[in-house]
Amino acid sequence: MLKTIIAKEFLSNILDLRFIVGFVLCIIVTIACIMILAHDYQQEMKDYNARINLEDEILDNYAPAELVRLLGMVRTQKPPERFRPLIIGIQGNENLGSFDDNPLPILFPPLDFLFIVTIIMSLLAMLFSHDAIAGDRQSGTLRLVISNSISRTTILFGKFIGGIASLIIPFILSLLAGVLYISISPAIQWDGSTWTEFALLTAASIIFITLFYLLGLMVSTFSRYSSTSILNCLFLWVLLILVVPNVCTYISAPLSPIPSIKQTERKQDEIKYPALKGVQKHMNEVIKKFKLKYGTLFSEFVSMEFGGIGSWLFLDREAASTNKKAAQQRAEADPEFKAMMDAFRQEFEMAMKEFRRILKEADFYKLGRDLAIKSAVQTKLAKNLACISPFANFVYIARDLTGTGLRSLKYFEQTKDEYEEQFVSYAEEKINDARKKNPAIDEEYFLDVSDRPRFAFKEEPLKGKLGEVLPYWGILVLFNVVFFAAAFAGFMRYDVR
Amino acid sequence: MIEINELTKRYEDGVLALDHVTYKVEQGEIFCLLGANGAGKTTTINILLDFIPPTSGHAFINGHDCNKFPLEAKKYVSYVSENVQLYGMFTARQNLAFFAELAGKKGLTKKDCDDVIHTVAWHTWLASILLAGICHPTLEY
Repeated sequence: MLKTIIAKEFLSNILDLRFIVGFVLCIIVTIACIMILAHDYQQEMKDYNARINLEDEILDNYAPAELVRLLGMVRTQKPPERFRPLIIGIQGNENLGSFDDNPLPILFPPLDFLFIVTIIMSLLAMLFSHDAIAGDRQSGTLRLVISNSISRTTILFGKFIGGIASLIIPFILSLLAGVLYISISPAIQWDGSTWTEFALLTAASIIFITLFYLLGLMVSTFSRYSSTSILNCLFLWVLLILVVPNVCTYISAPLSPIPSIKQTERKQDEIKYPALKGVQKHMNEVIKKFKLKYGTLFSEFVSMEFGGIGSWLFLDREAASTNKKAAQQRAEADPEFKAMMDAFRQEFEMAMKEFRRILKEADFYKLGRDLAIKSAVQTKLAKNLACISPFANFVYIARDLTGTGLRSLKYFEQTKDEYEEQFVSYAEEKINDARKKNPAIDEEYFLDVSDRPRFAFKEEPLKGKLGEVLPYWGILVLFNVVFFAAAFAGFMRYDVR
Repeated sequence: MIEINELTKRYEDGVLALDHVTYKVEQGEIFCLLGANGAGKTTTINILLDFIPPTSGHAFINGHDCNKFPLEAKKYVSYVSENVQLYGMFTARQNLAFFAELAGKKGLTKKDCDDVIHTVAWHTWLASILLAGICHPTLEY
């Protein structure tokens, strides 16, 4: 009997105009979207490779024997996401330059796989199921069906399975067409793990679409008329897709308040500048003393150490590190210069120590740390609150699985830090070796860094990603169970008259 | 055999549609339930078909309680509503096949369907001719 109901539901759905419109829409939008995004991906890949080649060429020929400058030349870059032909990642959204100086697309939601599933397919699902019960009651066919020896449970299951099958078929077919395009595109190389992630993404999409079908079915079992049902469905759709995820971000602000960045910066300035003024006052007196004592020798030292009187007031010793070496060389030749230099450096270190102590006592560093911690707590709260919307859960799954979300950026930062650490030790070793061989190396000297470690961003392993997305998967399944249970309860008590 | 025993139905709005109704329809008996609007005819049928539950009392079809064991009871029922609506996007044959399957008649062939359609069409045509004749103004004099 179940088979009969499934077959009927499936047949009546695919004979309906909604199916034809949905099918055509799905196919056109999916294929067009994949073709456009695949083209963008190829372009971004070209740009990325060109940037990498240029950087390689510069480093191969002009790697300075100076750590800070060398590090400044190494730019670790995130390659375009492998799923870029399907989903526009956060990187792509943020980067205005990727639109070839046309900022218009950033004004509208991007048309990608996420848009197709969360907007088009969820709406289609509700359009298919909103009258599954109420529509049959209105037309009188439900009474005719129930007058037979068939349970309401069978009818509901049959309607659910038949309906969802007629909905998933156009989705899968359009996706297959898109996948075919991806697989025959020579510029897009997907490995085994990417295909696994794609299969998981498809599974999550089906769960998400089923959820909205069940929501429509549930509303239908609580409505007497199709018109009421569709209005209620649209209201719930707007609430779950558009309102809840956005509102949660706003709700989390008063629930877990954080001071504004401007306020924090102002507070930090209020601590920093008086302390800096004190240090400057002290150092000015020290400078006067040194000038009186050493005269032009001191001016020469200041020029070498800080690039001239005054620039040290920025307390940016790193920027002046190149001249510092010159001062060191001068000190090796002149003991008086060395004595003056050591004495001044000691004074300077003491002043800086005092400066840092004042900052620490006045919670200067704590302010920055607190802001970062509170900001992370608020983000987490907003993310968790948004889980009451199936939309948010699906977006978390899709973005984390495909490496197009925040998690991927965080993972990239981690791998970038690891690489930079590795490169720093490599560069230090290289510079030390070069200095040992030739102590008189200058700015014109270039290192041979052809054996340098290269940055190759590897996506986070699937295991880690799965660990992150499993809870959201569980929530989506729970939503499905709750909506089906509610539809079941509603249909058992449904007045078929 | 249909047995109705002290059947009562009070709707949510307080309307008492059936008030301790009791009667029995024996096997082979042709039974016609007649009454004015609101007499409770449809309510009785709705309870027999398990569309709505009774407030109290029992209805049995061939000894099966319509409320407790509706699937068993409905095995012996064929229901034709006064305003039958079929599935609009199905052909007559598809509608026939579907409802026949629900009633337990599986594997209906095209010929079976066509036979039924022709029979129904013939009877409908005949009925319309006869009804037109009876109701014809010239014959009413």
